[in-house]
Amino acid sequence: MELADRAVGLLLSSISLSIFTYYTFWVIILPFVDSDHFIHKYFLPQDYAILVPVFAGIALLSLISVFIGMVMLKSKKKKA
Amino acid sequence: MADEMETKGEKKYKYSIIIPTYNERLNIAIIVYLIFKHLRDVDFEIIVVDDGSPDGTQEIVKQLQQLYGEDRILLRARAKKLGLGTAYIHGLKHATGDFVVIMDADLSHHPKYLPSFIKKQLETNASIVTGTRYVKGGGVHGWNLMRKLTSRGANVLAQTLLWPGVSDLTGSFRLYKKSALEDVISSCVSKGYVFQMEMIVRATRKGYHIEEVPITFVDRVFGTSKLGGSEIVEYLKGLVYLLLTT
Repeated sequence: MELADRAVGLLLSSISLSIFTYYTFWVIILPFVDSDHFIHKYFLPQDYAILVPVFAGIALLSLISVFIGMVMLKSKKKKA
Repeated sequence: MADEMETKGEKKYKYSIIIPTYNERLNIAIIVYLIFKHLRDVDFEIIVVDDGSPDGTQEIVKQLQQLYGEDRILLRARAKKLGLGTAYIHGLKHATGDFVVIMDADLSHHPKYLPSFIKKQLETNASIVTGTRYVKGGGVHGWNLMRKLTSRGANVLAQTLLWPGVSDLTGSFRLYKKSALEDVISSCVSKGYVFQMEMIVRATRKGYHIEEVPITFVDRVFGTSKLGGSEIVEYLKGLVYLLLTT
């Protein structure tokens, strides 16, 4: 139980760390690498570096708003 | 015991332990027994603020009073359920100690940590010593993964928004200098467990010296504590309120 939780925590940390590293590399280092270098095969075009996080952020925000809205509606109904 | 505190040659302070209760007849006797077991050389009183529990908590406390003495256990009952914040204020009015300890009656706060609170206060002369789950030596027991993640997430969010200077905002196992508690509590308006958060944030903003000791939080043995959507939303509202007013 305790050990399994630790494993999950470690997994979550390593996932976020690798995403961070990958994204940093993509955005900060890649523009300085020659465009015919093989490493470009492992990354999407630069435009997506903005598009993906923006859409992920919007999705997250709307999910949170919907959740909060639903809970508030429910509690209002309970009071009435 | 190794962590029993040494008070030889020092001025002896008196500690008032305020325990708000509501339907805690199973727990209150155990907690009183444990407090007496772990605080042998300390001058203290236990103030039970009972909100008119229908399960006979007050009868149990009266029996305990006969056993330990009415000067050690004080029963300060209120007629009906009036909430946690006012329970502290009510208990505080009757406190005669130099320091006030606030703890839950449901055994999630184990009295074995009391000596380390007292010791920390004596060492550092802090105004507030707060128990924290988020340092080495502290933790939670009996929580599932979801609960742990929610708690962590809530804490990270609060840390980012409020910069409170303490690692555990919602834990309510704390020792206060009496004057500090009186000052802080008078400026708090929230209810529920946002109240715990507001107290420590306001104390930080007022510049009180706050120290931390690690504690292990044990999930309540009898009864259940709930954590659902509406609790999360209440918590978020509390965060926003504190962000805007402190």
